[in-house]
Amino acid sequence: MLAFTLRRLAVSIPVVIASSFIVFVLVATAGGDPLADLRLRPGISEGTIELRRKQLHLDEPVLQRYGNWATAAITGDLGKANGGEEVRPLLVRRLGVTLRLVVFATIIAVILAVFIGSMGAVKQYSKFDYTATFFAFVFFSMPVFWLAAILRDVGIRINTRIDRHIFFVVGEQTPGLGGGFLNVQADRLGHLILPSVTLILISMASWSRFQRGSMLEVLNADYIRTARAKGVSARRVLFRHALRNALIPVVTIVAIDFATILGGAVITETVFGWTGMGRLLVDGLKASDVNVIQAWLLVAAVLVISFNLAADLLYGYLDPRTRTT
Amino acid sequence: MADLAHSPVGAPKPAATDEMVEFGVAATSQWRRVLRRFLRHKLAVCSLVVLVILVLASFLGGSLIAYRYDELTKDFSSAPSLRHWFGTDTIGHDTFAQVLRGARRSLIVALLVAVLSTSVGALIGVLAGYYRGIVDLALMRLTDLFLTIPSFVVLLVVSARYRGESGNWLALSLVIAGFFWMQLARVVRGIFLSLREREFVEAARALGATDRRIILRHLLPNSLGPIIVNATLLVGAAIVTETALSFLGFGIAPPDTSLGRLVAEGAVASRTRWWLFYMPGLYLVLISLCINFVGDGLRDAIDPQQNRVRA
Repeated sequence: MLAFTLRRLAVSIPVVIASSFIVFVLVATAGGDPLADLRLRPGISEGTIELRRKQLHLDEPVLQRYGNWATAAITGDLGKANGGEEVRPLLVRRLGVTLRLVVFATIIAVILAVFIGSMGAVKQYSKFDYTATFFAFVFFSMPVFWLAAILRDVGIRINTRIDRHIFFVVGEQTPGLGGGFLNVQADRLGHLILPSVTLILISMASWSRFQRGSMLEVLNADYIRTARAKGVSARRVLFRHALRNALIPVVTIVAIDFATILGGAVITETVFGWTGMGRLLVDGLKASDVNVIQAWLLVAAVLVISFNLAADLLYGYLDPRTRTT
Repeated sequence: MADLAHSPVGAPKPAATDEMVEFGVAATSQWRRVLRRFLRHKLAVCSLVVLVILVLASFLGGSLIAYRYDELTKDFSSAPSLRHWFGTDTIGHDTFAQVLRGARRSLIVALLVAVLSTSVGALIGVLAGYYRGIVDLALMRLTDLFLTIPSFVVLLVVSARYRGESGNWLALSLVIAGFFWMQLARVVRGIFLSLREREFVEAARALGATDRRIILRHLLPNSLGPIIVNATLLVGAAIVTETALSFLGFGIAPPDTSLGRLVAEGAVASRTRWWLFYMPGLYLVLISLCINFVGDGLRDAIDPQQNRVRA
């Protein structure tokens, strides 16, 4: 297992480098003019613009820019935003907010998806199965932004109807809230509900279908019949023999889907007005803030590749037959 | 009818074309079987009917309904009624006309993305699966690399360049297609890897068929099923992606519009004029839902053996 882990880790490093390079070139060539904002402002001299261009190394060839940027990024220096703020602390703060949403939603979505998918497989073609399948299709087809906006709308309507503020629809926490640690956490949890429900419903849709398929495959396997024939109790067959093996593919799918969840989080955060990674990216893009965009994409790429790596390792751990490569 | 009644039994049949000699019989019966299996799938057939209606409405509806999308009617902010099925906005635009116009743009982008990314994906899959070796290695590493890029986020970044430029739908389609080809490339490669070892390919090669002929005449028709299914589902995925980009303000730019932009504009007023938000959204979800049902029905019809689920 150790050799397998090291080999996989070694393969990931060039992938990170190549991926970050592609992304860097894409942003540098197609990401818009980072000086546009400066040019439009009145009273900015040609000299200031030229200075800014030098600061951002825009006068150098792309390859050299990537080299400079990557070397700095390895030492943890991600440069400064257009406003002069250091990018790294900004990014870390925003990442905390977004990860809170992503981690919370993913955990709940996985639990629900495994339960619903397995139930659908055990009771194949039952009313439950058909209903679950239909709703999986509906949420699978639903764009994240629409579902998020609907939930926000419904939340506001309920608040107005009962004249009490039970659903928070703006921001990730109430600004300037005192009252100690517990109070703050409770407030954060309240703000977390609607955005999480959005992400949970969307990701659960495909994962539950996947779990259902995987469970069906396992339930039809010979060793399940053997276990039943030996007289193992139905419960034990289901949980010990079937579910454990059916979970393997789903675990990997969840890790691989991380990029999709991240994209969904960007949209959800925008709808609910969170100041997380999503806001950082959208604002950065509107201002053509290259350093922010590059740093954002680097973090996203590293996260996605780490999750892919985690999926690989987990798969290797759960199913030793796949460790050969 | 008269011709038919008098045609002599055993008259020479019309000369078969080249293609029919090679494929005719087997090909028609295979696709006929697929059609029969698809027609048995009630939900898929219903979805197909609804989808055709929605698509036709989007492309032709503008000229059939009473109002033009840029016409200012005398009804301001009116709720859905018989006169205005989807209501009107504050300055009297008929929302139904607006939705049809937005849907047309969204559909054009989605279809273009599906065609482009299917072509690219199929080409890469064919080359990798047929030629194997170094070509396969290079192309598949490239595919893996693209799969590790968080595509929606990168799409946001790249399309930011065309933000606000009117008439950017072509650029937008190209950009989206650039991140949608990977899955098909892998699927086609897998099929080609297994098919190229089969006897009928060996036979064709023994008869002196060129690579080009083997690929186009023997292998590609045999992998058409999965390609069609994938292309159908891609239309659904593309329409959702385009509308999401437009919703965030990085997609279709005014004066052009798409369903995503309409939803974004309507979301602001969702409490007072709910129809401006819910109607375009419903139209969008209905299109995407129907596409997914049709795609699923097609998959079952083309390959009934497999028990694979939507990943």
